[in-house]
Amino acid sequence: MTLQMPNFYLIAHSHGVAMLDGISDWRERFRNDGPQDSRFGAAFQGWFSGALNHEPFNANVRDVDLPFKQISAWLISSGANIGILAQLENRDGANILGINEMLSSTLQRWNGHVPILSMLNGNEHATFMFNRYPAYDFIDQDLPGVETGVPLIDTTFIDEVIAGWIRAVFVSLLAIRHVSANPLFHTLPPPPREHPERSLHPEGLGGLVAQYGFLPARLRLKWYLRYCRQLRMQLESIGCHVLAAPVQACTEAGLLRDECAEGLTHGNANYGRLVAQQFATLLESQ
Amino acid sequence: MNPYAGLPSAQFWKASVESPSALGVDFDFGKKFSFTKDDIFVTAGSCFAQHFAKQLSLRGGKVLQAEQRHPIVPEESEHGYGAFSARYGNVYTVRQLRELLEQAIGLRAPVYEMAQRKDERWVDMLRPRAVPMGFSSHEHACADRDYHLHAVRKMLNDMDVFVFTLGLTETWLNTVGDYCYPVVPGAIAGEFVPGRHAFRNFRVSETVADLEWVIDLITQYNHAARILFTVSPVGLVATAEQRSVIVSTLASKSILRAAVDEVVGTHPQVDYFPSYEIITSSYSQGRFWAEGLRDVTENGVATVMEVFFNSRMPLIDTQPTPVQHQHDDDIGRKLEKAVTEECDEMFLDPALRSR
Repeated sequence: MTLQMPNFYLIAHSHGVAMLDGISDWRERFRNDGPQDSRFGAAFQGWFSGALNHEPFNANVRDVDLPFKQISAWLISSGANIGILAQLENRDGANILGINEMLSSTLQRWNGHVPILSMLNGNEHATFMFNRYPAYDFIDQDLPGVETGVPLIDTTFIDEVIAGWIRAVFVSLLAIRHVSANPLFHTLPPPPREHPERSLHPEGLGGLVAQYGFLPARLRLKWYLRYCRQLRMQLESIGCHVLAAPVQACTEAGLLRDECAEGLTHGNANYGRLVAQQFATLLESQ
Repeated sequence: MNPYAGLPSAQFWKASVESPSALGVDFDFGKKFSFTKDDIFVTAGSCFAQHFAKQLSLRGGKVLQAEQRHPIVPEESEHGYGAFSARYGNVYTVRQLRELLEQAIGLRAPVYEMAQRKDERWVDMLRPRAVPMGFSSHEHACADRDYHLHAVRKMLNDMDVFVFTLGLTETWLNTVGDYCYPVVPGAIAGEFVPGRHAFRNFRVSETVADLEWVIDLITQYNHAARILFTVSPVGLVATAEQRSVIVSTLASKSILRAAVDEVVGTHPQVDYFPSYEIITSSYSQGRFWAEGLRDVTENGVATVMEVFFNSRMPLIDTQPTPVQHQHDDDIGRKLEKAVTEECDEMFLDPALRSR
């Protein structure tokens, strides 16, 4: 029996489910016998209960059009209680990078030339998808123009919010970069969904949906685009390649098409397949 | 028998100055109207106008805030909300007020003159200290001006009472765009360009014309609105006239006071409140002047407000934090500092600017 090297390593939180569902046979390997949670679609049953596997695993790629045969994935589910992957602590003026032991040992096993694809974090921007505040807008270069008659929030404050979102994923990737010399890639999360109100599964956000409703799509997109742009800049500064959401999965305005969405905030298997195709194209071009 | 016989004591000097307390003097005798706790006030004008809004709010009065801090904006940031009913900053001249209202209601195209400060933040030259933290970009500054004008328009519509404190007659004009600045370009941001920027000292007739225009506009826009003018007793930081700043201060205040008297006499919905006289008249013997003899002490402000509330809003029930006369100097210094920080004019004096 020959040991086949995976084509890439996937380290992911919930957004990795889309890719695994889109291209691999991973579901055949794990059973979720826990109770069904109506807040979530089939893709996320067992996600919060810990029923899903906690350890890195191998999965075969079913999609014959892709240049991948096998991937090794570490899907970090909410129920896994892995804890924070990495954190920066300031001690006596120096930044000390603390790395989760499991992350460290996993990376050591993965050490080599096989690319690591991160789909870590990514739902932070969703915290501002709800209409929680009085109307507002802000200036952003990617979506020029502002709503008339509403106060404008200085981007200094917008960026303070976004910095918090970025910190979580950036520090994790900084830790990966620190421990591993493998080529490193990060996939930006899917954009806000075009019709969130059509989502059959509100995930854990049903209460917020009922209480506040959704921000106008344009404003949801502004938050997302600004977050992605700033995250990309930071990740590229540490040598991490960044993949945007696949254009085919987005409307002309840049929102996530309903047919590519899973619940309120995630991409589905269609989306995951498009991400994988994009990743393959990027690897080929390098 | 003479026409003075039987007139109220407020109309006689001797009787008026007998009271040891300003509260015993009927400064506001002859007022046209009073206010209720439910009246919605808008305040604008020079530094002195800020006190009015603050004191009114402290006593449970309603001060319209057409622009408010958004919850996403941290409270401790230098956002500039709350100083006036909208973020127009100090409106020193009647011409400045007129031009603001003209822009708000669309009679004049919005003026987008923005300048970048040394800290790379942008300011709106027509309200350079209204948003102390400035704006993150030129585009933001322009868009915020649009929102500001929208807020001013809404403010005109929603208010019951417009309180405007007239501050100055001296101003600097942009001769190309034909508009005036609250502060000369170059003092806070921007660059002074001789030829493009010209000094102007408005005369009584010009001030009256601008006041008439403002009154007409407000009345057309809001038939029920009442207008209350006051004149700021605070002196000029500097004068661009070739004469003593003390002479210019008295000339400027006299022009403003005369102009207000002209218009109050002809409009039933317009009145004057004599804060200027409470502070500056010989009755007060100069005791309300802070160190430096330009600003007004906390006690002076409190006295003015006491007279106002006793005369115009007697039913307002809450009292602000009591003024502690024995510690007037400490409180006064703090307030002076606060007032100084709010006055754009201070930037005209290099000695003060570097403090």
